[in-house]
Amino acid sequence: MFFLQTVAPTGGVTSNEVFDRYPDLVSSIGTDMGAFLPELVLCLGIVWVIFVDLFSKRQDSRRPGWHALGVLGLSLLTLVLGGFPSAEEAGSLFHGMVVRDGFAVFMKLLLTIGTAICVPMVMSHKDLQGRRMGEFYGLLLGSLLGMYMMASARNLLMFFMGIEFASYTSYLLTGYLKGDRKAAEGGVKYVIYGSVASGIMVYGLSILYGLTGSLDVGAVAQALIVTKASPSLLIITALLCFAGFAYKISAFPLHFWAPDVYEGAPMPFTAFLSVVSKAAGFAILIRFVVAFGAPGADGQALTLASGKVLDLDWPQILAVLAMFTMTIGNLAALWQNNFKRLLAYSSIAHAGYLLMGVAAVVPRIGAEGDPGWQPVLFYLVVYLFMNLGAFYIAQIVAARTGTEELPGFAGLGKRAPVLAVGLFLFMISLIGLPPTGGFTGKWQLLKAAWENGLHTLVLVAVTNTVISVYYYARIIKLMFLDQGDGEGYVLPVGQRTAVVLMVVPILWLGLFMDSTVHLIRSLSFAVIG
Amino acid sequence: MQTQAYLVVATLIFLIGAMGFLIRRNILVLFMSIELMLNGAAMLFVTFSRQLRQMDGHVFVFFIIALAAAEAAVGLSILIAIFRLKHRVNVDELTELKG
Repeated sequence: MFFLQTVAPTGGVTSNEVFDRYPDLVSSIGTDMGAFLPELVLCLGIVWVIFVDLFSKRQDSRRPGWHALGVLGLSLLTLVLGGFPSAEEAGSLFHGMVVRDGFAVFMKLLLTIGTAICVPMVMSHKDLQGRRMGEFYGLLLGSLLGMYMMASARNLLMFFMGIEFASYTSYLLTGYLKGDRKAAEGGVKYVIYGSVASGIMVYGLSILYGLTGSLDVGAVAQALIVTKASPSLLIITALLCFAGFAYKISAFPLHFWAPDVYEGAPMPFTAFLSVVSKAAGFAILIRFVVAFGAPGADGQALTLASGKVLDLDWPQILAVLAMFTMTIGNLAALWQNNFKRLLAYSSIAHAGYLLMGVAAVVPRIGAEGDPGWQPVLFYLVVYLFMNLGAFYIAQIVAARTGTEELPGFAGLGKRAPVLAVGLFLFMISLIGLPPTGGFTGKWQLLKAAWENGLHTLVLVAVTNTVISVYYYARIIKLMFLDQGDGEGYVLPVGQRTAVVLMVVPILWLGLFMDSTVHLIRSLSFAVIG
Repeated sequence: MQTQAYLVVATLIFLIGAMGFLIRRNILVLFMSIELMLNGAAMLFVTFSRQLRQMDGHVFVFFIIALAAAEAAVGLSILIAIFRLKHRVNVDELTELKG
């Protein structure tokens, strides 16, 4: 970037002023680019994948997929080589727009792995064969890039940009099958509700800016301690901002888009939405919540860390939202007959469980050696594998039976034992029973909430878990006890390996969770303030 | 006093957009309502930015404008896709998915 530096600013007084005020502006952008490498790889990858598609035949629709996998691998490699920044190395890039810390790197790894699992699903999906798929992969990588921003945003502008970047690409991917009525309708519903949610959020952000005079989350949090704003105005602002996050994680009261969009979108993208998109939403929500509990100048942080800003009990507000989210998701799931719709409601319920963890984050901030968000991140890892696994098996079954309705699963235990056992384990994990990761993950969430005095919430969550057994067990009963028609079939080796590869982490996290817990606990979180 | 007048106007624009979204059923009008909501927020940003003598809010507004344009492009393209299939642009008539 040296050539930019050496050019003398000739544009009159204004540019001179800028150079005087920020002497290292250009050079620091140059050095920050090094830490921004995974994002840059994705940026080039988006162009590359579309470019590859131009030079391949229409029948050869898998080719850009391989290239997309390559780009993801390269991005993953740069992330791993960059390592998890320690507490001393953690800081912000680009003059406080983006943070670089262990939390962000971990989330980016999670998001990349999730996307990398979705890409082979796209490549093997039969409705997506023989089409021009370059744009699909390009948009998918673009969505991932937006989620990278979400995971590492620090400025309110980056919050907005990241969420919108991830959303716009998702709208297009939902309606990618243009001739398909369900896909088009899902796309329209997604774009309308999504735009409204982001409109509401940006209105909330603007009030927040007016109240605090800053766009930096840390500065906003510090300014809120001394603000003279009335609690009612503050709670309205917080709820307006929450609209954007709630819509990304499909939490109450902005959950209603999820079932329609999930049913309309192509199966691999439904999987992507339900897992990767949600994980990014939680990353940004945690960033927002933790910022409000960061250590302040002089003990004022204690009032924040106990979760009370202006006598409002924020954990309780989040807890109520979590209760509604999980209850609505579970109750509606009981009557579903479409597998994608069922998993959509199940994913709303899981957003509720994860929100329970977020409600428990605030009071735990500052506790020695235990970042409050540890249970949430652990559950996100488990959720990634179990939900993607369930979608993967559902896609294979749907391709064989030609239907995404539940009766298609009847007798799967006899027809394809590997698939049935895999799905059985994923369902067990989604319920939250040992020996799977779903059990250890949910147990940690419940424990965190209980220790922070959210007893009612824990009781509601346990009741919800019991309710959820019904609809997950229904699928298990269909697979093993009911008679289904249709021939048995032998799975290709690739699919069998993929199922095993998804099952192993679930069991690993269920039986040997310590290493993962330690890793998450050791992650640095850029202290904002 | 002057600032308050701007705040009232911005809030009114936002609320008109929100009401429009709740009342109207034509998807094109819905997108217009959403634009109004975004513009209300943008106006608030400009007002606060001017009051605080900062540039941050002004910059944010540029991004809002750019993203609103991108949103319209994405939304209209999806709208065209559904119009080709159904020849309707009413949200109430989207009943393929029960929700």
